[in-house]
Amino acid sequence: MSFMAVAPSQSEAAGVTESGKFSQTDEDLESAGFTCHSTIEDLDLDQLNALFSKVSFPQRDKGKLLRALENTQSLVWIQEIKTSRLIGFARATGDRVFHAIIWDVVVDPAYQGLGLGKVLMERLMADLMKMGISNIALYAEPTVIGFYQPMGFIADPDGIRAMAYSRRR
Amino acid sequence: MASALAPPCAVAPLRCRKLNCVYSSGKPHSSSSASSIAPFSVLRNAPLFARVEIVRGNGKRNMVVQAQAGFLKLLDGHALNLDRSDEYRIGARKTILTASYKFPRNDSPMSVQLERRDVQARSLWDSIRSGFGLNNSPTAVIDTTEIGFKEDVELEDEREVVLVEKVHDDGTVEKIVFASGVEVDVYELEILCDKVGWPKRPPSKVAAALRNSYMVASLHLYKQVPSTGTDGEDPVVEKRELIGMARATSDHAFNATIWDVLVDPLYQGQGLGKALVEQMIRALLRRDIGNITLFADAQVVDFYKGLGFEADPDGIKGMFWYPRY
Repeated sequence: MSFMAVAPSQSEAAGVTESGKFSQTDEDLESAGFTCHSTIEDLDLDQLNALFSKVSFPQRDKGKLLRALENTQSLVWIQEIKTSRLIGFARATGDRVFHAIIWDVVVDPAYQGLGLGKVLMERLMADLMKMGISNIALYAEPTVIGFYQPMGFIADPDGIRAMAYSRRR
Repeated sequence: MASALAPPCAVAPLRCRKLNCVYSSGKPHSSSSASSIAPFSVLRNAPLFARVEIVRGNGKRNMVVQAQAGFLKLLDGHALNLDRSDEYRIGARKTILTASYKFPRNDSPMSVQLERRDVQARSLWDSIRSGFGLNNSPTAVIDTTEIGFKEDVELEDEREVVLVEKVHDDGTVEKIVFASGVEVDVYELEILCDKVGWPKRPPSKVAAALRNSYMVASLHLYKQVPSTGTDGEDPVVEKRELIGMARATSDHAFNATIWDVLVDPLYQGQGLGKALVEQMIRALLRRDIGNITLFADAQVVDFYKGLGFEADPDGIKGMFWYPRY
């Protein structure tokens, strides 16, 4: 088979998989009982806060949360069809041209181990790549560095360090 | 309807005005509610327009703020019991926002304080003085259930800080000014990036990146040369040069990430980079952004530590996707 010099089709393109295709297609997910969304339409903020609390993320003021989501460049969320429950979420902010930062990647602990974290990341990255953004960064807690590495994320490349402003001075 | 305007507070150099407006019940609105206050205009200012409408019903009021541009902050007035104070940023296009607050169940006049900052504040007060009272006709009550944030909002906040001021022997005045709302010219920025040795980027992309940034902070050098004409003439601003820039992307609520911090090499070593980032942090904190982050090259980690940044907070690591060095 000759080398494919052409990028995979946009609907399949996934920045994080070697094959360039999604590890689970929308059909695969549907058979497993899940559906994927990429807009804030029908996103239940209470459910999102509930999901955050399940992974010990801080609860968010809903007004601020709405504002954050409306100013978020890309987002993906996974819903269990049977219960309409929100079980996975991820979003990315940026300037829509050069950089993007991925935030709030969450999968309900009861649904972990099904590859849904990867599903979220693949679709989010594909969306960003579609916009032409390849400078993608994120802040990873120590326990999840191993989750992002196989996807091609490198920690502290060239000595670059993540820093956060601390008001405790 | 009685209404009174207090004189503006003398706040300099910030362009903000506090307006104290007192309202009392007017004639009932045409709706079926037993007692209601007809909505009315609080202030009108062309081309920036704002209106606050209060409709009473069942002890719970809906406050509708309609504005075209500017930055409105609703503050807790002494006669009100607001659940919370909210900041709303309003874009250049008409945006209608709602908030509902539990007001005390009485008929006493309520006072609402509006703090307004906008880019054309110089004419704001005159416009209000002339505009207020001319049109108090009730306007239609907007069904608040239909209202939400309609459009993306653009931040307009022209807080400027003079960092350095030098007067030379010949009377020339040089000022270095920090601003977080002044537009940065992409071609001036290209020249500046060139000076610090950064790779060229397509101007159209840079323009888009600036537009999509939550905050673009700039350092400009202003040179005023005294006029040589008759007495009483004002000095003429001869030149404005971009000598520093930093920008931040954000979700406008929780997180902000600072990018592209640069200072013209000619003006480095004066603490301007420090001031640039410090002022930017202050501006972000004023907007209640709780998490301010950045990625620092190895050689500037200490610089940012000195400004209050912590590397790898709680062991959190910055990760980049297939970075190209």
